[in-house]
Amino acid sequence: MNERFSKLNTGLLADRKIMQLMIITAGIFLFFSYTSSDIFFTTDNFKSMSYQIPEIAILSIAVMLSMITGGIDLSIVSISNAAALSASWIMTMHINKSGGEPIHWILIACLVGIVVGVLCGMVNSLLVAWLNVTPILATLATMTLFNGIAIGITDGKSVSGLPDQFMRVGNGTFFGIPTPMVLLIVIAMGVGFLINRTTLGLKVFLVGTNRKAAQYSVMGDRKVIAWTYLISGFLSSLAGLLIASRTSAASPDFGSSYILLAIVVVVLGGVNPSGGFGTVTGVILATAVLQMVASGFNALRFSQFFYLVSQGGVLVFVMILNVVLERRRVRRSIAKSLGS
Amino acid sequence: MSTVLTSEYGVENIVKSFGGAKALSGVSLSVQSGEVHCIAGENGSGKSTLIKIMSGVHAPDSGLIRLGERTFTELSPREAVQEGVQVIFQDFSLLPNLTVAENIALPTYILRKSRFLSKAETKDIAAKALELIGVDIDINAPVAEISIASKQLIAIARATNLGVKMLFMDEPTTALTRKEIKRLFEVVEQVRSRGVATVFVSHKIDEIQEICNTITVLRNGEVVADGLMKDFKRDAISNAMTGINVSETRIAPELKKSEKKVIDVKNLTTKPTFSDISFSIAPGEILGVTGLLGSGRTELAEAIFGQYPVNSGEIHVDGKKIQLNSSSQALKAGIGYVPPDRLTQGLFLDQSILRNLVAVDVDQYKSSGGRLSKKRLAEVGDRWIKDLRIKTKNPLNPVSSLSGGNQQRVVLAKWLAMNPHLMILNGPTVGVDIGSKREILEIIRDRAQEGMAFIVVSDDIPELIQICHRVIVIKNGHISKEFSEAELNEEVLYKELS
Repeated sequence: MNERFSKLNTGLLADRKIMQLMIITAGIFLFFSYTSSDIFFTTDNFKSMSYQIPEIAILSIAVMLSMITGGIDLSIVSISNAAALSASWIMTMHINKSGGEPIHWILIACLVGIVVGVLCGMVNSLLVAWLNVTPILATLATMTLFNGIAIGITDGKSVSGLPDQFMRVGNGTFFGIPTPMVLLIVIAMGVGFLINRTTLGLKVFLVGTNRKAAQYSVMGDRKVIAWTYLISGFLSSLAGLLIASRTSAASPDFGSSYILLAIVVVVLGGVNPSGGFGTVTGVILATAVLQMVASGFNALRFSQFFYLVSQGGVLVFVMILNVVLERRRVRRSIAKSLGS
Repeated sequence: MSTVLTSEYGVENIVKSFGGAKALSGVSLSVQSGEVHCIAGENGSGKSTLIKIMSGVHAPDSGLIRLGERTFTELSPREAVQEGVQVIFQDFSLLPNLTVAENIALPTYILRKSRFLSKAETKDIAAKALELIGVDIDINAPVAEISIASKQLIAIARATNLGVKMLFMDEPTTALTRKEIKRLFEVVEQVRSRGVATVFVSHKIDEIQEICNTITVLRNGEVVADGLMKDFKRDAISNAMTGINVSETRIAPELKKSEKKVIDVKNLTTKPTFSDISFSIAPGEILGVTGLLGSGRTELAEAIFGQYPVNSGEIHVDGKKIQLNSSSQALKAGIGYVPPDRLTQGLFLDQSILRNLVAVDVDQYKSSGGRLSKKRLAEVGDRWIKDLRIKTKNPLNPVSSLSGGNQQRVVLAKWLAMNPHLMILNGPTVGVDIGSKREILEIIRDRAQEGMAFIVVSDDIPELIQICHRVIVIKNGHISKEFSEAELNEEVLYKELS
């Protein structure tokens, strides 16, 4: 009896969540493939999904990192837009004037975008890790702040007409695989390595489980938290560049609904909103689930509003499920600690 | 078992299991109104489960709860209060931001289901309640600013106000001085004389003998002895509680003479918490630090480890002065610290045992490429689980699946893994069973023999006498007295404390 409990409670619990998600993913896939074989189950649809999934998945991975430490980063979309805008601004400025080799300007522009993202991440780190501002408030403030700065600089206009070479990244393929997908795989592997195979990753989980105990264990909890927001800023800037590259434009108000979506994805993906647990695989599977639901509803000609309802519904359902499972788990732990 | 059928309050044949584990197996208890009854037992004997069943927190699996004329198979918390069952927990459950008067009166309003409060009535209710038990406390003072002893009396006043018929007091004397205990006992006597069935939960045998008329001793969820207090001798109670003749003989290793000092603390001061604290510890020496709750003993321990601010003073470790107010410097100098509350300060409850074991100085498990070496982690885990005999089948199980004693060993191991020169243990055996306690003390002894120095902060006097070479007593933030090995005995230590 005890043995079975402990299996459910350990690392396998996370695996079990992944298993559940895989089954859900497969189920939804089969459902839509069956009900809408002419629109959903087509190469075109799969292709379009594989260009849309990476952006939201990368943003979600960014949210996941801060959430594992018990915080949250609401400023990801603002950061990604700010990064995309500054990169696009440099590209349009220099390409139209010089007309020469734009490729090195593209690289410089991307670099600048990434630097902007990292700087924004540092602002969040400063607020959350060093000034102890509650993460949800700190990043809500910086979300508005970054967004406001972006609107101010561009006068609220979007920047469009980006060079072809740049657009090839967001719309092209790499050995037959859509480039954004390749980028996502690289990022997923990188973050997976970071959280599972480095000491920083281990600390991220420990700080997220019990910050007080982390302080008493002297693991530099501030530094750990600072790193997650910095990396979150970095990943957001990559997502921003990807979006700009796919849509050939950058605008300060792009993807404002993405932040809610990213949180839905992360929670659905099994990340514990109060910190301590989360997997990259879970987040990617959850992105796939939601994207399939979106495409599927589209294919079945359900209205947009129905999709929003189901998105919110999923979030509420998963939260309730988590609470129920948590209660059961706590009860079992208590019983066990009394038993031995 | 002498069950008195006319008893008014108590339980009959209560069985309660959590999961597969029996917390209470057929416990009966009867308390007459107007008597003070003692429930004695070690940690884990089922005392708290019994209180929780009688106050409506847990429902029993079977058995009866008798409250005066009425019997219940289970209670809700509200029913328990309505029937006059009140529990004063160790933290008193007072609201520190409210005044004394508000704390006493609020539950009365709640019970009456009033939606509006009147300031005048609040003061009135409080004043009457305090008068009833013969206590004089400023009712306008915020609870945060009054002494622990007064808080206790307020909790009693609050209970009597709610028409208490059965009053549980859970370890009420833990944080009190001798004088305050006397006052508490006078109040308890007042309450008793009004016909309240008072239940005193404690393991301090002297106090039990002083205040209680009858006693029930629990062990492993069963009643092992009960009857009139006067029929019990001191040894009989303690033997019944532990079930074995636990030898409390000294196990401290012989101290080798050494001129070296592992740590030298000079004039450590943070007013008003502690001031002018100076002491030094030789290699292999175990220094006990004791004092009442709020004496500054915990703050002092945390200050040495850089978790509590220090205003002035010096700390030298192995002859080198260390920077104060920095845990990372303390860690570098080789100081380890096991905090008093293992659940909130010591453990990462939801994480695996393995992850908990390596949580201190995580960076030492990095391999050359900066990668976390899973192999080394596993080796370290296996080693400590074996060394400290942590009972688990799988180091990947969450640490919350372990019992208290095993959890405490995990916290210990996490610090021993960095091989400290000085280990500060704050309440190393709080909430662990007696067998584990012995083993933990033996772990301390073995390390001391290897030359590790220890500071053991504890209010468990027998434990300090068992393991320490020297004990200092902290009173109001000062070292009030130091006892050498030869001077250590329970009587003088208790006397110095109160």
